[in-house]
Formats: sequence, structure tokens, C-alpha cells
Amino acid sequence: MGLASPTAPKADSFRERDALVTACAYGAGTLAAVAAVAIGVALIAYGWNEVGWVLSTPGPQGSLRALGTTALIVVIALPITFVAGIFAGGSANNPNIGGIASKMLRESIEWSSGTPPVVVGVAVFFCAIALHTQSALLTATFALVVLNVPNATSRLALAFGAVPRQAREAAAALGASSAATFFGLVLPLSVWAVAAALFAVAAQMIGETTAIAIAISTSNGPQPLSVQIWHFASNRSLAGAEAAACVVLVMVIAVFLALSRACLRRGVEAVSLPP
Amino acid sequence: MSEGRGPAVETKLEASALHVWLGERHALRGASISVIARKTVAFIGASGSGKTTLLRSFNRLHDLDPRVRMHGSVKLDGAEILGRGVDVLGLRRRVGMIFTRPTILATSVFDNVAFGLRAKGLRDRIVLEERCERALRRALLWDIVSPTLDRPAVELAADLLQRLCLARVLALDPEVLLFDDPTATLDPVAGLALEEVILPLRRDHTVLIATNNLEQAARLSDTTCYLANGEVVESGETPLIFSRPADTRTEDFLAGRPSG
Repeated sequence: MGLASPTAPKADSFRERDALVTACAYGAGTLAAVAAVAIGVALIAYGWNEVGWVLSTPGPQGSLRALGTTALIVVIALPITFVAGIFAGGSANNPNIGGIASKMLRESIEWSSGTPPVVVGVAVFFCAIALHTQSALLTATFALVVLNVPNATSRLALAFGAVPRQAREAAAALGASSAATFFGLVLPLSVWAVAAALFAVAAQMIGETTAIAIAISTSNGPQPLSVQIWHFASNRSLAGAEAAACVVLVMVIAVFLALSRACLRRGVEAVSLPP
Repeated sequence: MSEGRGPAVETKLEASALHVWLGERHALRGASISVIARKTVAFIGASGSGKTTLLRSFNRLHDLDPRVRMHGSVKLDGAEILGRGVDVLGLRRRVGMIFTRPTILATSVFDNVAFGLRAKGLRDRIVLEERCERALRRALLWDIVSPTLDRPAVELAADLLQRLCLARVLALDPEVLLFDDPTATLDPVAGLALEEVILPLRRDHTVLIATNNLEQAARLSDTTCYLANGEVVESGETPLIFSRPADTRTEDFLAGRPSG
């Protein structure tokens, strides 16, 4: 009788698990999944019949037009946010910016990323009043930029920071300037992580409601989808349309987040240098 | 290390009373050393003795770490390179460095070798190709990589990566080459192969090599410098240092004895 060949053990089977934490993690994950499914089912059940209506109805209640407004705002706000974010994120990792300037930059990123959207909205609202701005698009764009620059900066600083220090040193040792190192090495290496940040920030911009709603509260003009959904909420007879618009919004955001995740996975591969 | 007699010698690099602090750690304590042009100097010493810190002072790579403070003097061809107003980027092109771990940029083989030239502002494709080919030939890599210049450099075999890093530096025609324990991550055969590449370079370049491999120091260098606790304990002609060291600390280190 020959010896039976052993079956390969499961990965990690040798490792002791913390039973309580593992059980809690599974429980929390299950709860989150159930809640997500329940919300999705409720939205679809309540608003499915209205999806066609909100997409085909002309403005101001039509979601397609509101989505167009959202896209327009995001298309204007995203490049501004990213240029500011790339500058600040790149500077956060620049050893030539030393002393208090570097410390202040990092601190300001941390602190400003925690600013509540309602505060940003009110600040932009007052700016709009002071500048006599009537354009809802302009005000909404400004609110999105102010709100998302810290977020974009911290994401980009993480992306740039993932480029190995040895690679930066190798570039510097070849006589590359900070700019040449950044544009010739850091940016190409982190391009997928930057793309991931771009999609994630875009998703956040698309879903942002509070800051824009407050900032454009006195303006008459087209509204982005998230703000329109908020306004639907003031009329019970539009509950179905509200749910339908939410379904549209969630689907659009899900697409952007999926793109972000896909880019992030590529980004991790791109910055992995040989051992 | 300059000889007192014989033909006039040209001092290439000179460090005087050089102190370096890495954060709170006093890593280099008043190191003084002069290196003659087109000679090879090996720096030996225990880990943490200051070999790498000294090498990184010669191309001001410490500038990249805001925690590092330096005091003293370092001269290249008689000109002070520490302090403000020095063309640091130009200095690093003149004083090239090869690190312990091969740091490959995640681009093609050609782009790796051309990186420094492009950073210098060279854009002419023909000139770039000529310079890259010459550098790859000097690193004994051309015959191996010439058919795959556009392939990602990370696909090269591990033992070739360090030679690619060397080619990247050689493309800039540096006057001084700093090797920071370049064979530490290579197997013995690949390490010896890299030494074969380094040997002919000694004719045209001033070579400084920090190494934990005493045999390598003996094989490659004209002069050996022993460092301990951030101080230059002893330096002199390599055969002399290895056969009759003047300082008992050097003797203990070479014999593998803990220094009293």
C-alpha cells in the first residue's frame, strides 16, 4: 500500500487566528452587505418604475439633465482640483521643501481634509454673496474645488509617496532636478495611482450634495443630480422619482469607483521594483 | 593618502574634518581623506562605521534627507562642494553613484540608461543612442541587451540589473564613481562578474568603493581606508593595510576580532 500524498494545506492555515476579532469582522461585513443590498432593493423597488421617467423628463426634474449639469461641474472642477492636488501632493514629498513650510503643508492637508462640507458650503456661499456671483455652475464648481483639494492632495501624496525612496535617490544621483525626477520618474511610476485618485475624487464630486446645495441656495440655475435628489425630498409625491434618481446616481458613482479600484490594482503593480 | 615623493599627483577628492549627523546620530566624526585622481579607494569597516555616509557626502546625496546636517569641507578638484551656490546637479553628474541594491527605474532598458542624459537636457535621439550604446558596452551589457533595448528593464536577470545601473551612470561620463557595496545583493559569481566590469573602469575614473567584502577591497583597490565609529582610523596602500596595519583596531577588524 503506497503512501497517500498529502493534500496542500489552505493558505494561512498555519497561522493562529483571533477567533473573536475574526467573528466580529465577518459579522460586520455581513451586516454591511445586507444593509447595502437592502438599500439597493428598497431603492429599486420604490423607484424602478420612475427610472424611465426621471431619465426622459426634461428639466428641471429630469435626472439626465441634472446628470449633465453634474458632469459639467465635475469636468471644470476636476482639473483645477488635480492641478492643485498634484502641486501640493508632490510638494508634500519633496525633501527640498523643509522646515516649517513642509510641516505646515502636511498639517494643512490633514486638517483641511476634515472640514465638514456644510462649513465649506457656507464659506463659498458667503464668497458668492461678496463677489455678487449669480452663476450656480461657477459657485458649485468653486465649492467642489475647495471641498476636494485636500482629498485629492492626500490621495496624490499617498500615490507619489508609494514610489520607492531608492528610485528617487537613483534619479537624484544621476543629476536629475526635483522637477525632472517628478515628471520623469514619480509621475510615470504613479500614473495608475493618480488615475485611481482621479476617479475616486470624481465619484466624490458627483455624490457631493451639502456643500453645493448650500453654496448655490440663492442661485437660480441648473442643479447637479445630487442636489436635485435633495430637493425631491421636500415633496412626498416625488418619493419615487427621488429613489429612481438615487439609483441613477449610485450606478454612476459605482462605475467611477470600480474604475478607481481597477487603476489602483495596476498602480500597485507599476511601483513594485525588483527586490 | 597622497604620496610624498615621485611624480606630482592630482588630488581629485578631499574631505577635511567632515562631520555628518543623521538626525541625532553623529555618523561621521571629523573624517579627513584625500583621493588621488584615477586611483581606487576601498572603504572598509563594520556596519554603521560611516562608509556609506562618507560616500554620500561626495555627491551631496545627503541633501535629499532634511534630517541630515553636515559640517566641514569636501573638495572636488580643489573646489568646495559643500555649502550654498554649488551646482549640485552638475556635481552629481561628475560624481556618479551605484547603490547597494540595483535601483531600476520602471521603464525600458534604453530609457533607464538615457534617464540621466535626458534629465541633463539631451534630446537628440541619435546622440542619446550613441551615448547609451557606449555606456552599455563599457558595462559589458551591450551584447546581451541590444536586441531588447525597448523591453522593460525589470525583465533583465537579477545579476544584470546592477550592471545596468552602472551603465546608467557611465552614460553621463562621470569623473568619479562611488560604489556603495555594489555586490552585497549578488551571488558570488555575479559579484565577481561585476568586479570584472569595474576593473577596466579604474583606468579612466577615480573609484571609491565601500564594501564589507575584504577580498573585494584587496582585489579592486589601490588604497584602503578603514573606518570605525565614524572616524577614519587608518588609510594607506592596500597591500600594506592588509599585511601590516599600523593601528591595532584595523588589525583586529581584519582578523575578525572584536576591537578592544
